[in-house]
Amino acid sequence: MRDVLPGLLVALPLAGAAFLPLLAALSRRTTRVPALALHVAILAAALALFGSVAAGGPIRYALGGWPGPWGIELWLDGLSTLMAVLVSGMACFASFAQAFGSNEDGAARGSTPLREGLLRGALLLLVAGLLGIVATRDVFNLFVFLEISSLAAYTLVASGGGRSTVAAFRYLLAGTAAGSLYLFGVGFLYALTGTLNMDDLASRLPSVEADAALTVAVVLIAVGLSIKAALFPLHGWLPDTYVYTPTPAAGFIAAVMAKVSAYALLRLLGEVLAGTEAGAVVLEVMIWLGVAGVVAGGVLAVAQRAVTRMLAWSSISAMGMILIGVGMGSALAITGALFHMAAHALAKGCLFFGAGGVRARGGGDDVERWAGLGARAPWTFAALTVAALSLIGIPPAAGFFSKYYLLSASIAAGGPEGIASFAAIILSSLLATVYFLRVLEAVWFRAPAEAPDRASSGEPAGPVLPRPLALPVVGLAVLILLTGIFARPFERHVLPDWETGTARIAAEAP
Amino acid sequence: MTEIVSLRPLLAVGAGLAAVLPILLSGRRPALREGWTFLAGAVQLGAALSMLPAALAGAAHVSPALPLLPGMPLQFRADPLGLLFLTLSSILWLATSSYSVGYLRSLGLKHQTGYFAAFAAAVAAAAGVALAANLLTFLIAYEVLTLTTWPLVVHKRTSGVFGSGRSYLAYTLIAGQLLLGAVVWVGMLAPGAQFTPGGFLAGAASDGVLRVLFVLLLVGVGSKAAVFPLHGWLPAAMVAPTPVSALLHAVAVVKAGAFGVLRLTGWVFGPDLMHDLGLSLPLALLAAGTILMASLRALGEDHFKRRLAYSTVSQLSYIVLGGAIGTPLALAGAAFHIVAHGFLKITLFFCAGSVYAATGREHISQLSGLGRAMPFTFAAFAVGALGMAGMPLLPGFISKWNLALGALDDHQVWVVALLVVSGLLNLAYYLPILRIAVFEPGDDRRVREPSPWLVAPPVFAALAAIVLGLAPDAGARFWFLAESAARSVAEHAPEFLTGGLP
Amino acid sequence: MTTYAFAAALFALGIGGMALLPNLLRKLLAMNVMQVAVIVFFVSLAFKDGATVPILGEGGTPQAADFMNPLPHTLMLTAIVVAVSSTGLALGLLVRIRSRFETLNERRLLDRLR
Repeated sequence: MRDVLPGLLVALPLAGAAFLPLLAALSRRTTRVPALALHVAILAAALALFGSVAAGGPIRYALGGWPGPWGIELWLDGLSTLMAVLVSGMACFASFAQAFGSNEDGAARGSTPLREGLLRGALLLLVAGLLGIVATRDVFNLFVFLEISSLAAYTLVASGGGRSTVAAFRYLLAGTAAGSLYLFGVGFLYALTGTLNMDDLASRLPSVEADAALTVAVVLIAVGLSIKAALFPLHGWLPDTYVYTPTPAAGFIAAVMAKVSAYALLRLLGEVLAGTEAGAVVLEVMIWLGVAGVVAGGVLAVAQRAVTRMLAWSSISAMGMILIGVGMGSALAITGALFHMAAHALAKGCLFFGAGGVRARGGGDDVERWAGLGARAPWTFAALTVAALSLIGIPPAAGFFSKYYLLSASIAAGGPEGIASFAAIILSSLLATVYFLRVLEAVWFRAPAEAPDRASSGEPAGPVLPRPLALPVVGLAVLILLTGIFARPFERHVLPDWETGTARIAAEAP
Repeated sequence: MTEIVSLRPLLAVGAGLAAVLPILLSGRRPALREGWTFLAGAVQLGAALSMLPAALAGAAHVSPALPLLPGMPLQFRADPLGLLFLTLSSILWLATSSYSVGYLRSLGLKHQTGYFAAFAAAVAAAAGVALAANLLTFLIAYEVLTLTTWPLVVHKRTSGVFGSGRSYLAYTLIAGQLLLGAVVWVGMLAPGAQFTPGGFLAGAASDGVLRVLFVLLLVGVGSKAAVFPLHGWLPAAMVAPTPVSALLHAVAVVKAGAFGVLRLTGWVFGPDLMHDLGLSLPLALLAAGTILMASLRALGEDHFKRRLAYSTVSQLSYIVLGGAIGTPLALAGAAFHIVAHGFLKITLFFCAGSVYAATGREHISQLSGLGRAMPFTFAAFAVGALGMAGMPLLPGFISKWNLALGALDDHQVWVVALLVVSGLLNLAYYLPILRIAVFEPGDDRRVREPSPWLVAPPVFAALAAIVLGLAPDAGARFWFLAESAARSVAEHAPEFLTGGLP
Repeated sequence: MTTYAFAAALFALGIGGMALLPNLLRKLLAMNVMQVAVIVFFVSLAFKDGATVPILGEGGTPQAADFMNPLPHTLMLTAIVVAVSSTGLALGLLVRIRSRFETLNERRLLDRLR
């Protein structure tokens, strides 16, 4: 199994992405079941890899049988398999929402089996790209997967039509600039070391003279990936994109896209380039930008009246927290960053599925329009409440534990950046309290605003959000609680791989 | 202390939590719904009492530890202080539940199902605060307590009420975040952060860091204990229905804060470290200031429940004061005051609620003549009021007497003067209520006692208070628990602090 | 060195155009300039004076110094594919935007979005 699974993890979604539209075109029938089955199979592969890595250690896999540093290698350790499980798991929920929940969404109006098949193919392509980024050990290959995932994402964002095409175009500009910056940086690295393999790079870099070229390379790579990871102040593309993306895709893109780029930052800056002087400086700058992002994202989230836009700004705050952890680089900080990736992905996915569903049913996007919805769909909104509380950081939801780890890491780090991150994280919880409790107050305690059309016609109000969306929402809420309660085993499994990984690279350095 | 690993602490915490779902699901059948509440209350009380024999024998029931964070498990331990708070809140929960039934029905309030569900969750959280074995568990229970109380505060759902709800959350959640920061910090300095009699932080960090930590922790727990200047939310929260004010804002929530202060001074820092850091006197002065300030505010307050709320602010600081002084008798007095104030204040709130249910009146100046129309209610009120002022033979006297003795052990004579002055102030703001109710002629002759559901609980609480005043160690052995909690702290304290212990 | 400076200048031109130009189509063209800059950079990396394409000729043992590095060129084949597909997608989006909003001016579009 270990010999096949890594390749399968990337090949399966890639093949599926080509196969599904073809199937839809030929059969002219809905492809929801094959799509869902594919996603479940990918998740199964990811879980099997996770288990296999936990039991038998990291796996190195040579694509096409060409070993590194000449061929392209995949590298699966606790860290990457965790990300793979996160990505493929969220994809299952998104695929379910895409298959059953989007009937009333603006995206699917006048949709045909072929159009649906193409969108499902795009989701699979996005998954393929993200899993590729997670698994690859080759810096150029990472660029290719980055662009694959981005192209698929632009398509999904634009599938809402109208405003979402503008958002998609602006996202495309930002994403392509990010990719080109990254590629430019890779070019410098290749010129300096003559290799593209991450392990090879890490072992050769220490013998490279630290000069301007190396600094430029590190900065270009960091800036490029930071744009994708929405690090403040490079976050400009994020709010519109998240707000105008149709629901099933929004739940997925908001949950994992930026995080996979943060993962790539962690791999490259925290592991491969960690030994370089420029890398250390960039990481420290990243802490400060993370602090700024945590605060700015929170403040601007408070300023929003529209629920989805508020969620988008809250994501910028969350990415700031994750990148603080990446920047600090201690075991505690990395645990916190990883944990927050998981916690925030689950919670933000849950909230975007919910908010998108409400919006799709004509519930509107303004906080006022959410008034009284809790009484009409108690289970769904209880689940959304759990997600919101997790983001505020109320125990025992998962978000509390990521904040706990990051706060501990800040104290352990000490110094001005430690104090600043500590204060920023506490402040972000308070801001999150303000903006989420405003929504929760409306949902649970305020009387519903009369919808003019329904009130006059006397029709009973329909469901608050498309019924099938309740499943991902409630399912994710349960996962949030489980992740919180079983925090320790998670940490025990993922961290050792990271530590041996960085230790190995440190040991290889002459 | 011997530890017995058992599931009973979990049962005590889980009973209320487990009742939430059945209560929500049986919303259409009020009798069944309230049956769940009573069942959960009985289970919680049963679990509390079943752990008493072990405590009497000097042992403690400890739940299995669920690993949550490195070295910081989720764990519950029924030590004497925790057991005291747990037993108190389960007894008073049962009383409040029967009162709630009468109150909600006679006023025909809406959203009763959500009310009972949130109530059960809040009491479970208070039980969690009581039995928390370490700071992490305490923090978790504390935050859950904050959130589950919010729906109860905004129960009336008018715009003014939402304002009060927001101010309640602003105080408690901000404090909760500071507490989180402090808990993380303590966790880094002293892995595990397990409550230890006599404290565990001595020598863990420099004096400056420890002082900063103390302030953070104090703000965290002190805001719920309504210590000046963090008391503003409590009078505002009186917009809640009276049973909520009675149990949560006289017992569960504010007591969780005062209990937290005791844990902080006795079990995290410890009296000797507090003395070394020079924190005892400032904290005692803060408590003294709160006592006087709140008493004066109570004098000028005409709103019945808000006067009671200011009285609560003042009385809670007795507990803080005891924790600050830190001598065994002062600690025992403070711990016992949790119980004494619980029974007395809930009596007073029940009476205020009965008046509101029977007449719709909320202000003291409107009470004229009601004493004769509602004799049982105002008899109970008299017991509560006199007990608050510290009249001998009532439990308030026992706590204050021990506080005074404990302060003298530490040569803090001013505390005795403070206790006398505040006792007089208590009389000054409680007796006028009785005078207006009993001696001023009423204008409405149709007023009668409300339904027995509303009369029985205050009378029961007043009788229980009298029993407690005569025999503080009867029944649930509250005095024993208070004293052995104080003794456990003192055993770890240096010689000069152990004076007065037999 | 000149080619490196040229690539860098081209890249800056592209990024600047993407940020500053008001029209979305012009932004797209600037984006293409930026992408080409990276390609120029990679290709010039592989360049060596007096070297030739890495195809084995007749006679003698091949010396690495005589051949250009083929890897950057192959990498750029992939990068060109990426550039073409993103440009294609972007053009598709522009057609949609234009038919829906009847303008490609960014400021006017953003006003419509809010």
